Amino acid sequence: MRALFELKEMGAKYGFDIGRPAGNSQEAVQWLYFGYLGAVKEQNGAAMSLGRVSTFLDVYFERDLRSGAIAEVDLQELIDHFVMKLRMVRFLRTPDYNALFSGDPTWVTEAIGGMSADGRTMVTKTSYRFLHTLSNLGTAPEPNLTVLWSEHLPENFKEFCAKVSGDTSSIQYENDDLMRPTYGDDYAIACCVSVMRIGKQMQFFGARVNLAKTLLYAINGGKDEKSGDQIAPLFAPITAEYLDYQEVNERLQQMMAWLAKAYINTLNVIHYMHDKYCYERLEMALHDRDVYRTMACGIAGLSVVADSLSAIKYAKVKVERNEQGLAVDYLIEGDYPQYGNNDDRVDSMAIDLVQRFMNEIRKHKTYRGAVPTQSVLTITSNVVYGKKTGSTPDGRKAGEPFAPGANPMHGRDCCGAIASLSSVAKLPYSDCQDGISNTFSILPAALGRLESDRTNNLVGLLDGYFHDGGHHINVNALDRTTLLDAMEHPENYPQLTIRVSGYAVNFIKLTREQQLDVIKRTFHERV
Amino acid sequence: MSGIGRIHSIETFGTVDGPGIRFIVFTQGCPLRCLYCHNPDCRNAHDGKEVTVDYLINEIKKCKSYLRKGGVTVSGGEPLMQPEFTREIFDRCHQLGLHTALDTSGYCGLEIAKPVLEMTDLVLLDIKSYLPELYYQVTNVSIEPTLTMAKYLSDIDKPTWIRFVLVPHLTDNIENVEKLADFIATLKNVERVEILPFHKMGEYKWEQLGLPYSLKDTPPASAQMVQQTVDIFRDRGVEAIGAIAL
Repeated sequence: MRALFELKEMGAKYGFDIGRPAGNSQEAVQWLYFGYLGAVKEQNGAAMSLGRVSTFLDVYFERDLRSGAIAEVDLQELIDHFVMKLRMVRFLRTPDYNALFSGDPTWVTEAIGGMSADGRTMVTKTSYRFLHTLSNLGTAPEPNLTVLWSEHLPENFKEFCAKVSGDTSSIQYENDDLMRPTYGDDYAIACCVSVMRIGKQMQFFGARVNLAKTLLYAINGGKDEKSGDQIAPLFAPITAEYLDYQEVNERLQQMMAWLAKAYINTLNVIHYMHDKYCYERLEMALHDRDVYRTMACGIAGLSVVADSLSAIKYAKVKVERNEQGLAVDYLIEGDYPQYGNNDDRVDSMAIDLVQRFMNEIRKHKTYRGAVPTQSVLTITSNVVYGKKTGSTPDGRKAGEPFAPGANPMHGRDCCGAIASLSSVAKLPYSDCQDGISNTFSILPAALGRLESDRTNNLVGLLDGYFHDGGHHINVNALDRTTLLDAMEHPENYPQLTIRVSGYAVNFIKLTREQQLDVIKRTFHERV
Repeated sequence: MSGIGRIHSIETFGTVDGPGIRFIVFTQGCPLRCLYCHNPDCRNAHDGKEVTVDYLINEIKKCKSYLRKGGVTVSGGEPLMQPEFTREIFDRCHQLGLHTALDTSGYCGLEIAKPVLEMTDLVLLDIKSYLPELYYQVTNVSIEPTLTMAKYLSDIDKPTWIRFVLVPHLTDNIENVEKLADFIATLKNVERVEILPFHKMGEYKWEQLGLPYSLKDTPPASAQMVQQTVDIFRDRGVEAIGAIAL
């Protein structure tokens, strides 16, 4: 209650009585902004997402437009200004944090569109108005524009989104048809990709664990492959010259069990202490008193582990050990099916890993009884975690980045974009309710010869991917040459925005390593 | 009993080989020896891998959600070197409700090609040049079968797209282009002409195969050149588009 009164006080300082309902379009945006401003001033989380405000605001906008109280140009200006305010938010962070989440992201995620439970579309003129800010103000990573895609969305809107993606590479898409049956039509996206019933649900953020390193610990009996230190409890290491699939899987299971317990315990401590010293009163005051809480865990390096297990099973993987007996490198003899080629032999392993880890997490008691969830998402940590991880049995060498999110490893998807997307779409959302992130980058010319072809093909791609159950996709339509030029001449590209796993970022704000990682990634193209 | 054929590879997100999103089968083996070929590793009929039609249809089915507004294209190499194989693929695609497109040089006896064409919804016909000596220089084969096929397709009103690769100092000969445009203007079934600029991205494959590449010093076709060529076609009432070099 106190927090709400303080919010009113804040509004009064600017000359507004936000205790009464907003009476017109301008007040609707103003009151909404005060709510956001108050909450963001007090918050201490990684992200401060907005909600699903575009459709809500449109109720006021339509009424005023019809009565002649306001003109279209003024409505667009309200949204432009609102977005400018959202783009101005900055968090103070430690250098370590900035290395992990580069580019000053604030994740002001706005969910646009989707369908309502009664079958009407929730796409309104304000959905378009928000997307127009990308051209009116130039592109930027914030707000984190997220289109809730359904097969039933109006065709015009689908085409418009595809066009905006082609022009700006600034939108991400999530599967409304997948989420709506469980979460209804009043959910938004929190942080990067996570579904959240507005005002009724909150998330204890848990970032992600390094699944690839977990596999290496399993092989090395709990010893870190780089330092040699005994980090996990002492388990018997694998001593065989060639890795055996069953043996590796058993050890991996033990290691995942240990990790899940340590993980949940760590998150419990973090969030208990966070609430003790920095409880976000206003943000929570704007929620229902009894909220549904989730403990949002995550895994990084999924494709590395899936390919490693596939190599061990279908090829032969020889272990190279150092003088201390630590497994430090691997030699693969023969071929093996790789994740990203729509091959069930290895895709089933990825599914299995997701389910196994989720089941381990579920076994543990959480702070405030929060329901454990899991995401396959990395932000830019695929580069940072990769640096800290030794060589893996899939052929990846020590220090090399992981693929972002649930993407296949760079250069291993060789049958085209749809095979790649299909592998990702198989991952079970029921065991990954915090989100399954896929970053898709393509040369614009590879989308089609004519502009209309490119728009239609991108719509077709999104329709197909979501029809098959994919959860999320970032779309970048960029030339590699543009990115290479931006790396050398950042001053010419101050607003170049690109989507990475979980958010959009100013390309020039990434570290050089991260930039190289983005450029090296599979850019789908065909000669 | 499912048929067997040899293929070079598949591409699941084809966007420049027919309308919409297409699943593309690149067959192995080609009788032509085009100077500018960007898939020289497709030429030899004994390379590649053997697959059954069942296998390909299975892979196609996995992508069905994406192919609703597109379909399946069989390209290569030269698909008409494996006519029964190609025909069976198309037949099975039709049973799945999928649109079929054939990417061919037209270098095939018409009687052999007809059963395949019956199952083809759209023909992508590569006409490498129009002046016979130049055609032979570019491809090492005669132009006659291709012209015969082009006229036949017009007679039966089969939807066709023509493709022409513009190579500076080789096919950009003005008489060559104009006569080609004149010829195409006489056909009543051509929905569009795609002018494809020569590019250098297949060059490394020639090196890998140890084949002498005669176009090493040829520059890629410029956007301006492509536009000029497009205009020559459009002046004759032919719907032409210029592709962008990647």
